Amino acid sequence: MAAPAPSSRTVSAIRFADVTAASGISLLNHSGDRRKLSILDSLGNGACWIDYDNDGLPDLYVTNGSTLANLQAIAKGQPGELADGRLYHNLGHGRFEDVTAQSGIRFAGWEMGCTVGDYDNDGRDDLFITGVGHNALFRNLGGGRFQDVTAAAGVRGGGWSTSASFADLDGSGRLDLYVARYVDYDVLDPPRFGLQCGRQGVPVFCGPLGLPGSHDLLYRNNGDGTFTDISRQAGIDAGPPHYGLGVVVFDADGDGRPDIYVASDSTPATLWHNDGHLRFTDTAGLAGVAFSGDGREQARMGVDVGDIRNDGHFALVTTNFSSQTYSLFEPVAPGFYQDDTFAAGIGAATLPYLGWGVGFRDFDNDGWLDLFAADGHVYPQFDEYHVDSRYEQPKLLFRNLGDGTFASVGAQAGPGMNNAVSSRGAAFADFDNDGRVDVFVNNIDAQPQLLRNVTPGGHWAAFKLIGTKSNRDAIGALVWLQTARGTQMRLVHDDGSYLSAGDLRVHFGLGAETRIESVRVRWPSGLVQEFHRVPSDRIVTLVEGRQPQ
Amino acid sequence: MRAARIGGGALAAALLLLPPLSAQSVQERLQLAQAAVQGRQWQRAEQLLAGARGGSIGEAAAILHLRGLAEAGLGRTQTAAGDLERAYELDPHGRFYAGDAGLALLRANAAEAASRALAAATQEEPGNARLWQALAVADLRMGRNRAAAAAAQRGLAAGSGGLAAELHLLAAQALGNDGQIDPALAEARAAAALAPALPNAHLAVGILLAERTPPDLDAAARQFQRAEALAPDFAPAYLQLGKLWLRRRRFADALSQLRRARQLAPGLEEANYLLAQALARRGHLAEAAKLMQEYERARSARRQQLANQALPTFIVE
Repeated sequence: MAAPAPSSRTVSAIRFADVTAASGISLLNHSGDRRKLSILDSLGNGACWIDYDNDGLPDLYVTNGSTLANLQAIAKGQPGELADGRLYHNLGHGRFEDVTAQSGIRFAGWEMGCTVGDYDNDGRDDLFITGVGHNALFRNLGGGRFQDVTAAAGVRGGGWSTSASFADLDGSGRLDLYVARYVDYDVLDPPRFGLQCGRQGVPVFCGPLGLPGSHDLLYRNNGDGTFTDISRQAGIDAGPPHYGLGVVVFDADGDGRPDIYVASDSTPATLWHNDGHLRFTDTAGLAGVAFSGDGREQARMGVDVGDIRNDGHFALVTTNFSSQTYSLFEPVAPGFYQDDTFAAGIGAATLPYLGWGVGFRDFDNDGWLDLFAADGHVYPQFDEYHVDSRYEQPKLLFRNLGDGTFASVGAQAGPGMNNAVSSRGAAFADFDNDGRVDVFVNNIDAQPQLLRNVTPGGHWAAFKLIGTKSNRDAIGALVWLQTARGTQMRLVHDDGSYLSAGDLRVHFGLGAETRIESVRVRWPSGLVQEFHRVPSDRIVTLVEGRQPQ
Repeated sequence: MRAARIGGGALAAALLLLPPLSAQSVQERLQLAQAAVQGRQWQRAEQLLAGARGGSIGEAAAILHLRGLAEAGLGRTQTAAGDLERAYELDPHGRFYAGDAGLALLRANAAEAASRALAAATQEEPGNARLWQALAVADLRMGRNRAAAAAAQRGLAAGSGGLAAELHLLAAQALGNDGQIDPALAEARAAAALAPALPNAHLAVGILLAERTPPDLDAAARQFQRAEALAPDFAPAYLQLGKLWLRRRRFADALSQLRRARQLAPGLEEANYLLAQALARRGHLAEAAKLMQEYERARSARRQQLANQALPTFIVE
């Protein structure tokens, strides 16, 4: 398939407006002690876009942290306090209403992240929240009400869970659930080192190296509202424990089965190759995605995949610790990747930054996936000692130049990109349905930011996919859109980034094109469908096995 | 940590001051020990200082200082570093104590303490390029890249003499680590111009050419080939060229370079990793898997080692 020509493009500079104040989103993030005396205080939180009322406007759930004392009270059987996570109903026109109280979503303790999926295929997206000590599944009952079905579903888990992903891993038409886990942290006997570990000569909290790691969790969807923990029989328990943070599910080797990539802090990343029958083998080492290009473990936080060259193949990006670059892996053969971070122009530009939430999206609607990342350090003590990295860091934005390289454009993208915050999770959605992808960023110990994309120009198309034989959200479907300029590919997924979930609708920038020649979908069921006479500049619903209305 | 060391220094001072020998005998022993140190007679210096007690802070510091130098000469870097640092802490205005302490601490891999002592030493002797160079190395080891680059550049400004190429290379490494690739490249090129026969200089230029935006991989390859030509047994040059061919998807070329790197330096971990990658891309999956397994085992052991060092051995209640 021919890719759109990179030359002769006239695109506008990407701009974001910080519309948080006017939006009604007003919560404050609490992540333990603001001095960050413990690793528990440092990871922050995420957010999930979820159109829970199916009105076509993405709503938002924002997770929140708590205190160690609260976790200890809960662990001792005391009631404890609810985390201050919030569900915001999108009212349109950039306004959101806090509907948490009437939603039925209550999470006792310390939330970390969340993910979204219609696990029971009833047409209403459900919400899974990860946390420290336990997780929770909230079934969407309709009418703005959710029911906590964690116990009945068997997905309470334990340990310190971080990012999670709903994906149909066995082609059953039902969404299974993968949950990454971080340090094996006993809240009743936490590591109490204080600021006794040194980084660049600065006393900071200890870990994760030296603290026990964890194995992740994999749940099979039984199709009756319950899940079975199959971590052991699936092979997820094999190998050494790690410090798992970011998760993305995609077909890494083109064999038609979704694989699972887990970005890990200070330990090699994992690529769980799907061997079929819900058996998995870690192939990250030889695939070239476990370490950096020179074979070193990276402290990876967030992750995403995208067809950055419009050649029908997925590149993989991870955000990493400061003094490490981000990692951009490009495919060289089925199942094999090459670290092309420097070649792509995101090496030197990311060295001073500690990245978290990340996403490939076409922010300027020019037909090429750009890259957004939320950054912020974990050590506030760095500011007192004037070391090279600051605690509060700008968000980074890289514009895809269409030839496999990116240009750093964040500094020119608006004040909201460069304000003094230490950011963590980032969730992507066109929340106002204007055809431009916006970003919600959760900042640690601070107010979050809703960044509305105000980049002028560029035609677009977006698709909401509804599976009938496949899982209803069509998670795992591939969508190819063809215009006279070439073909672009998207994966239907809301995982990736960090502790967050994005809009499940897929978005394409069309540049100056208004005519879409065809849209081809390969549904998770294996059905391939081609759609013609698809309009541009609007959101189109595609139903598995049917032509669009 | 700093408080603990100062406490240790005060304790050492107390032990050294009481009970004192006669001032004359201490002075004599110090003079003899200094002569022994200058003559690199380390054991004799140590024997002369055995049991010596100073009658003043200055004498106590001098005893620790000379004993530290003797221990360093005997290869006992950790204890040497401790004694030298205590001498410096007891008498921070002693002209050479800070510099000697810094250099010994650096050899003992105590980068943080070395950096502190060397920062003081460079204030005392701002024209001493050797101290600036050591300070740059200490700051680099701590990940303080901007401070390291500044120290290297101060060393150059101080009139570096024979150290100029090395200082340029240190500045290049520090700036490169900080993402300032073009300034780093200018420093590496300056090193290569000053020392055209130095393979490390060409290696640094090549690495930075490959890391800049946009990368110049052809020019980088030529630099690595130049380094190979200058030093045919210099494994890092083969390693870097192999890595570059991997980036270019020239897997057969990568394979031959990386095999040579591994042959020259079997302990070069990075070569093992990259060789496994090249083998896998050429379809030699069994050999690649075996090598990768070995590599992952080695890295796992390294992580365990780091983990053991990472946490303090006590718990703050």
